Amino acid sequence: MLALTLAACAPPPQAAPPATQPPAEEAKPAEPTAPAPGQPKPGGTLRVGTNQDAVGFDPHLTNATASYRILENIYSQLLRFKPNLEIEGDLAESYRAIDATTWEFKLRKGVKFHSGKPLTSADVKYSLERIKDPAVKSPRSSQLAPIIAIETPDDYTVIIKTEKPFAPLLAVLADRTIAIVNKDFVEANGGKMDNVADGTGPFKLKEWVPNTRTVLEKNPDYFIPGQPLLDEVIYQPIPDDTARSTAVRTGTVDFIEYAPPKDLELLRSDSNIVITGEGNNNVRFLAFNTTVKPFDNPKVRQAIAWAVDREAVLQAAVNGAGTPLYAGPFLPSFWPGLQEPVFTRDLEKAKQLLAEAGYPNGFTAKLKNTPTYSFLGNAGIAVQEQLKEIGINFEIESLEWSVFLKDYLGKNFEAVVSGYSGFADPHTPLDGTYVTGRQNNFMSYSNPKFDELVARGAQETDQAKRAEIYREAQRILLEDSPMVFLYAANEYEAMQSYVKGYVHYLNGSHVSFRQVWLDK
Amino acid sequence: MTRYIVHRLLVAIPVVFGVSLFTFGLVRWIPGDPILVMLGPDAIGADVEGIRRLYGLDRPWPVQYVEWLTNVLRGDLGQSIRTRMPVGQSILQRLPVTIELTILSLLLGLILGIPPAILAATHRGKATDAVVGIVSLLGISVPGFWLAILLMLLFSLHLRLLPSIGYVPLHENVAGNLRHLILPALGLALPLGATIMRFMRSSLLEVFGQDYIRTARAKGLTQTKTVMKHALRNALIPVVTVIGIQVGRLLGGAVIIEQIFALPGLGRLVFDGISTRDYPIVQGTVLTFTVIFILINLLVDVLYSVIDPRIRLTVR
Amino acid sequence: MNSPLRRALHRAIRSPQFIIGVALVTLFVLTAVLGPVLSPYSPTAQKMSLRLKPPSAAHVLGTDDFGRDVLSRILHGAMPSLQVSVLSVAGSLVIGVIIGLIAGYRGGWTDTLLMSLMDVLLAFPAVLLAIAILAVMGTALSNVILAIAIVNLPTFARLARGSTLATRELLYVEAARGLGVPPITIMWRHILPNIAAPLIVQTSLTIAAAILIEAALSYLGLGIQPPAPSWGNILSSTYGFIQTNPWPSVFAGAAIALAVLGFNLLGDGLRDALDPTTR
Repeated sequence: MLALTLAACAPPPQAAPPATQPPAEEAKPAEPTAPAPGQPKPGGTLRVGTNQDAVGFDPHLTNATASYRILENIYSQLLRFKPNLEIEGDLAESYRAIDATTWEFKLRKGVKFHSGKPLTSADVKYSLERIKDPAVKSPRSSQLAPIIAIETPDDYTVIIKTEKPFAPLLAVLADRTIAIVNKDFVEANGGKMDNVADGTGPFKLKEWVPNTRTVLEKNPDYFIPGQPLLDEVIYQPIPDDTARSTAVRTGTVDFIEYAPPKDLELLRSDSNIVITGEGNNNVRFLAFNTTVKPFDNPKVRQAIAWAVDREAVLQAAVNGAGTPLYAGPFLPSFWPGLQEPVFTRDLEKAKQLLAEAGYPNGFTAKLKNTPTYSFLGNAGIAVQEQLKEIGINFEIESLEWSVFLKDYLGKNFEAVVSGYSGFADPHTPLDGTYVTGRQNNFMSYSNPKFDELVARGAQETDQAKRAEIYREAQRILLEDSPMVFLYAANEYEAMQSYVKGYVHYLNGSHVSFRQVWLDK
Repeated sequence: MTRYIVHRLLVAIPVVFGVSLFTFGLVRWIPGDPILVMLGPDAIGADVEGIRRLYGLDRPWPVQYVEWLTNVLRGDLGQSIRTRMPVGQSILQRLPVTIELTILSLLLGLILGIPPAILAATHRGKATDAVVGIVSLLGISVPGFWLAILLMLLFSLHLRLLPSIGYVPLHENVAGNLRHLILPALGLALPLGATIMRFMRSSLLEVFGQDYIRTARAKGLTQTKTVMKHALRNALIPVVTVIGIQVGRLLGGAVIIEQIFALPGLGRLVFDGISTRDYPIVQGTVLTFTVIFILINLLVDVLYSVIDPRIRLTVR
Repeated sequence: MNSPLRRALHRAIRSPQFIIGVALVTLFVLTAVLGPVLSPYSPTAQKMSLRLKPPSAAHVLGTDDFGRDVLSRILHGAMPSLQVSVLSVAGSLVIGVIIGLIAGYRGGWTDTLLMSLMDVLLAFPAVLLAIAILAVMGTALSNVILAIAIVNLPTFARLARGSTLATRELLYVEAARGLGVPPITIMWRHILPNIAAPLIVQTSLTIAAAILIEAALSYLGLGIQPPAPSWGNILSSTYGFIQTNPWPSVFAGAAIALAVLGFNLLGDGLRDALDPTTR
């Protein structure tokens, strides 16, 4: 899930968090969801303006949020998230833990793929193994790595075993990226599903004309009775922010994702438009290469953490539509999040730490920044200006996304403004980004005590105890500050008021299209 | 004439090769890796080399070039690294948008450019001339993307006359197609029309100054007839040259307009291709541009001899 | 300066459009030179509490999305915009004229080869060139200049070649050739002065176009890189707020339009003055 980072997206989704996953059970409920008075009625076409085109339709191979937002309405998983991000069965009718390392899933009966073939446990096993298969090269393989065996005692039972107790397992299986595919269909297509699909979801893939439109049509045999209501969903990429918000205001499309924060005021004042949306689990940060001077010194990194004005960064980056991250990588509303703000701007403390580190007059360093995404590029520009106040002079090296990414992934930077998103369980980012030697640990950060806490957290099944372990780990993270957490962006959708039944999911998911109807 | 065209086409072959070689080298020379862009941060853990081999990107690029060229000669432009769709198909899907947009903006450009030019040239130094001059200058003084957004806000948001974004294929719905293309075409046509107007005006003035027009005037032909009969035809020649160059620019230069109006044209295809380092897409699209560009310029030269039969096309 | 040019200048001075053009260009240059001195604030100083404010006494042209003073940014942004436009065009002028002179004078295969190369550049999408140059060499001002220079190179080469072709056959050039004057001398002494007029006109028109190209590159994130201001990037970073706070984009757009207008009027005025047939 962590993998669904910025990298997934091609060019400019302006203030769009590139990919997002469920934040929290306790997260605030969605702001206004579209009210649904009157009786839902079937029929009609929903025209959706997206900020980017899909990249391909193999749910196990693609990396792009733009693809997942369509795929999640074509495929189903074993489990799924509710709007409040609790987990419930999707293809699994029921599930239970047999022991600490063994889970049993009972499948719904009578579920059919779009091609008509009935779903069986063999498809589930095949799907999970396809993701794990190194030859398939799925970017999701590492998430399923803890699974050591998948058994199918009968057509409707799946047993999943992990090596050690693995608390995040259900959240992993509920993720839309772990789609259940039709074994026969994949094999018939020679393993290639870039522009074809056969799922069990509410809609079927009818047509994909790259950069023009993607058309989904109703699956009349969908396993939830009475859904979907729409006959068709047509997605159209509209990359320019102003053009996208204008398109929904003029009714050229009925619905847009990533309603641009800069236009929220306008959209709210338009009586034909309804806005949904709220907070989101994503992190925008200033990361350091902890192997180069002066950033090898934790005091320098901490000084910067004290000197940054996060509220101002939030304004510049996303017009204030988000939450400043004063205490680590999680929103305070997320269950393992730290409640009390830590790094509220304190220039005196910052200067003192710099002096202790041996840089009383500051220093000059290079900051890699990308103008391709203004929500990152503008954050970098704001940070640069703020740090001048403690004598730190960042020379911004402004790089086009592809070049930026190459340097970022190659750890070829002193400091960088970037982000990640898409996590349902705290284990994923904490393990993948900060544990010694992990693939996304671009800072080359290492603290054995932190590593140990994260490993312990994954095996703890009591959520309250897990949360305490993770809070402890985050305190270490803040102490060491391998990165300075800046903000988490909100995400909004805007729609014509006749679009009824849409529910904002905290992971930015559009699965509620299955219950959307048009009141016109 | 046929001999001329054949000669021109033969001369064009090295240009096409030159462009393809240049493109091929350039996209590989610029930093950024299509595989890394595709995989994202997972690339660190993934078998990047293996995937690179899968796309044949591990071999020396001259080898890749020869292979690509051989396939192109067989009519196969390869496969997009990002979407894994055939490049030829992606280009063909977008070609109608680009062609329709180009033709429409050209037509609008001519309508906006030529009549005012005649008006200005025949009223040289008078108020009409000045007004036409200033209006046309404004057309080329404003950045295109700004103009495009202003047009969109005015015509689709405030006046609700036209759809703000999108595209309807011509064969599906002619009126719908026009309604979707008129704003972007206008965005391109305003600066184009202004350029045409300026060239047309000055070449008209030049023609007016020539002996045979003076003779015609002396013979007592009325102003209008003179303009229509002699001057216009001759004055068109430099304008046609300019149009030839401008159309080349329209093809690839419509990126921003396509981006703003969400039109699936070739400009965006090549821009997205560059941004994601999708080499086959960039190579195929630039090749297409080159061929179209050469054909248009050939057409321009042939047009010369149609406009003015005195110009003979000869092989130098 | 030779006398036909001087005479043309005399004619030009009497044309109102030329005078307005000169005035606007002078204003542009003065803004670029004096801008940093006149600027009331630092162009990069941010004050988030003052984001996107309309014009006021403290901020005469309002503030942008970082709460920066738009007047200060426009004043500081004039110089980079001037540098980009003038230097890039100077580059394409010099190299383009050399290529065009050689191609036109030598003719034959030299001509075919050089002009084919120019066609390659002309057929090549400008955006691809810009990305390539900026990705490889970085986004420094000098590289933006280089990118725009290459984009405009074929225009000058073609123009110079066309005029050279016409001049080559003139009697005195043929005479000089017959006397054994070296080609370089012929080109420099006899051909260049004769083709200067259209080149001068084209130069001012291309400078105008270059200002717009920088703005277009900024829209794609490839122009002069913020936080350093240029007129192009001020416009491209604020045009999105046009419905909520149009001021920064209107002022930046107006600055661009006036500068472009100035160079265009200058070019038109020169053309009318230099070209006796259109008198």
